[in-house]
Amino acid sequence: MYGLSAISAANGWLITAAGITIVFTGLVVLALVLANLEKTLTAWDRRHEMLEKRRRIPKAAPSPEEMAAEKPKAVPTPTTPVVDLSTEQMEVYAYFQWLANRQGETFSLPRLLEQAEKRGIRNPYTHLDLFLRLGLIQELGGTQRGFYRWNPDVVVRSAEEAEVGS
Amino acid sequence: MELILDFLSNTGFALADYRHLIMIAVGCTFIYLGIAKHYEPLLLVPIGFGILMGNIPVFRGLGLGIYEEGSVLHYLYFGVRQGIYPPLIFLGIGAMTDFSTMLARPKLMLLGAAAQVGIFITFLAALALGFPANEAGSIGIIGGADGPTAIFLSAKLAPELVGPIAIAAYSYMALVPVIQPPIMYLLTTKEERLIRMSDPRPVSKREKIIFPIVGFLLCCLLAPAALPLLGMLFFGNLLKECMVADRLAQTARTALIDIVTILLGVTVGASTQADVFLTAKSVGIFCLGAASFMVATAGGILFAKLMNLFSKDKINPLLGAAGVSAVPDSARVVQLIGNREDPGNYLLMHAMAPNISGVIGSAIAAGVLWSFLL
Repeated sequence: MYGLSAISAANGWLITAAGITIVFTGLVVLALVLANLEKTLTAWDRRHEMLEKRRRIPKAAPSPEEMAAEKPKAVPTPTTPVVDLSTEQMEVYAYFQWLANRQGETFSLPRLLEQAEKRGIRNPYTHLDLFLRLGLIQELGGTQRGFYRWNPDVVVRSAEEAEVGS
Repeated sequence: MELILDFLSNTGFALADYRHLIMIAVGCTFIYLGIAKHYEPLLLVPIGFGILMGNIPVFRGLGLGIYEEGSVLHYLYFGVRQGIYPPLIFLGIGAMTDFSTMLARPKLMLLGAAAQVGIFITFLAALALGFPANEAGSIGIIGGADGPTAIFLSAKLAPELVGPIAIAAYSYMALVPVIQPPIMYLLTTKEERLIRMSDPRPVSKREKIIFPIVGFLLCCLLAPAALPLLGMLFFGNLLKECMVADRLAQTARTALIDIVTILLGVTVGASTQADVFLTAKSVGIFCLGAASFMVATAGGILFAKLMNLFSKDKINPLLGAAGVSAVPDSARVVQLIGNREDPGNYLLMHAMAPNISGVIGSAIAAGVLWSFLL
């Protein structure tokens, strides 16, 4: 059997229509999920904040007299240095911490860089340089010269946290 | 004297006929293309040598030929017949592929879906030419431009056609730089070829880790028959991205894929024994395979043009040609043609998105055809 009759006899039209539809549906659904993945992850990261906002009972707006009477609050100076990092830098910071912890409390920078490159972390040199300049990583002295550790006296927070805080 | 004459009558020289010589010439051509022209050398060299191995005429009954029970080649060919090698190759591909360009711009995945139209149109054409449905499905998958997928499906649907289909699929994949450009020029204007794509957004490591799990669940829940191929593809990618299974990822993308490629290439090549391979059916498969490849390329380009009608952010329609999943050759061809028009236009990373989604799309299409035609 040849021609259109052969196609009809083998359910060719139906299989083709179903096949194209399934392939398109699969990739369209996947594309939609991927397009929203970043937003979903950001929302997940901020879930506590969002829940907090929902729970908060809205206060009545203060009267002009109350506003005038309200004195500006003194901003408490932090006792420990605080470093603000962007979301991307925070992510890389977390990976570097994880990688460094595998070496122990003290670690070697070349080995850390090698591990980071192997795992495809973005711009490892730039990020490590930034962390050194910000004082997040300290070089050790004495017999351990050439080795580094994370500075326990520096507090790291994401830029988003900093915005919320301010 | 009689002993010597007996020996001489059993040598390959005495047993060979013109068909063996043709196939040996084909094998040498494959080796030449791989070594001298650098067309897919990792595939064409093993396949080419396999063709030479398969076309040394041997005395039947000695257990030497690939189709003879108990021969070494027969055992190695088991991985092709049972569809074992293709999923292992997909594992390696997953472990070496960076999906970030696709994650950064998921709408380009639609081009990978559109290019799979070639598979189904060729399936219809093969039916119309009188091929049975199972063989038509195996021939159509050549348009997916994905060797392992083509071998996997034909091993399941039409095992006797694995040789011609694999040779056709890999030949056309190697000939991507020859087949695609005329179609790309024919279907696009100069203005369209000059469209520059905006930079993709950075993709976080967390997205890359979540993608293989979500992608696997979505695709395989929709088309469970694609499980062996897509399961291994996404698993390989998870090994690469999760950062805690480095050794496994390293093995999958180096030693394992290399070993399987050698076994697959040599045995597929050896399966093209002249008496089995040189038939009118094989010629039909080659013609339909070429048509399938061309339709797939055209499908991707035309769909990109269609998307441009509705989208503010214009897509360079050349990217549609990368929807056929010959990774990374078709993406390289897109870069080459785009670069020829505008030397400052870098399309390679954008083309990788439809290219990789084409791999997923062709595996889904294979799963669909398998479930419908088995």
